[in-house]
Amino acid sequence: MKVGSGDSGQHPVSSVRGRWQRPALRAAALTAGMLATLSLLAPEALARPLAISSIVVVSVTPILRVLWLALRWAQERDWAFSAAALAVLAIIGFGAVFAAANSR
Amino acid sequence: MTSISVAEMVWYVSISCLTSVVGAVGGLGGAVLLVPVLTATGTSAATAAPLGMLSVCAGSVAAGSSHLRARSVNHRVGIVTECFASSGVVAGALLSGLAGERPLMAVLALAALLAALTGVTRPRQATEPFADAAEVGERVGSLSGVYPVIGGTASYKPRRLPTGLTLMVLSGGIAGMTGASGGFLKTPTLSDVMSLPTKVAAATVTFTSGITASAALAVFALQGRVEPLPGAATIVGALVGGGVGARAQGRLSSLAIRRGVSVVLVVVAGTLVSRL
Repeated sequence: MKVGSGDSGQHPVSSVRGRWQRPALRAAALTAGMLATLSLLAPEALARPLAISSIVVVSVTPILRVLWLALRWAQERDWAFSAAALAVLAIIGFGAVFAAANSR
Repeated sequence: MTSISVAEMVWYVSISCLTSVVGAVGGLGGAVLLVPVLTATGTSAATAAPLGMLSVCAGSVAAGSSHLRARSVNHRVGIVTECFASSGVVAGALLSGLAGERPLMAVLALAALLAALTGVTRPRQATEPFADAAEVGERVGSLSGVYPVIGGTASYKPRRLPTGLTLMVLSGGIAGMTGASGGFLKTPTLSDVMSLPTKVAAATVTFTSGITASAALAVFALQGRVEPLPGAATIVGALVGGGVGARAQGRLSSLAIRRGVSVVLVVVAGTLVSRL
């Protein structure tokens, strides 16, 4: 049974189906969880770098995911959406630069 | 903060886990409960917001794999809406670094009340079985897609884009200022305003919430507001809670959970207002 309300017949199905994203996300969750847990149990000298590492893994994973999508959409020659993904990264970069400039 | 006590560690892990479970089952997200509770119990709003964003990021990473397996995420819709939401969140996060504690608490109380309202007015989300069909997924060059429904597949196409994208900027701004993910605004915007199926809207918002949170965390980190050890404790709780919540989702009444969360949010909002 098919129910339609869109224009799916005019555009091919995207080949981006998560074959690489899924194991990468699982690995990121496991890595961040292990680093965070170790930071809470480790001596003070190691706790802070381990905690920062877990925060970096969790925070950077969504950004890497966007970059991955930009590359895969470019492979599909879906230039508009690839540019949109790069625009998201540019917005995040701008925010970081602006915050860094204002923090000095 | 170079170290935290055992009691503080247990507190951050427990509250992050509990709010992530409740948020996953209730469909409101965990940070919208985590940040007001932390603020109402003594954590400053400026410190609680980054912890909320870490909770959102961890939840998004933890849930991403299962949503991809169900083929319910529309990445193209997510990225287009995120162009606007990220602009809002960056602006909100930058403003929150300049604003005082009282304005932040006021915005947080307002966000909690708004989340309480959306929690009791949104329709119940039905779970649908996965249907193995070659056409399921998103479309190249289009925001439309096909998702599995009982007995087959259904296609969809987002509508009312200008209104929806404007609301995305607003949700991003609230997320940046308060540390809540904004999912309590994003999900109704995608499903009720832009006419996406609820399942696709929820999965897509989980994907974009991670990006929104990353954008805010980049700003918070450079403002020196991310505390590493409380942040690590929050990540542990959110990863565990997100996993438990995903498994409990089909077994508990999401409507009852959402109503309970709404009551808690109203109480927390009242506590924040009383402290202004």
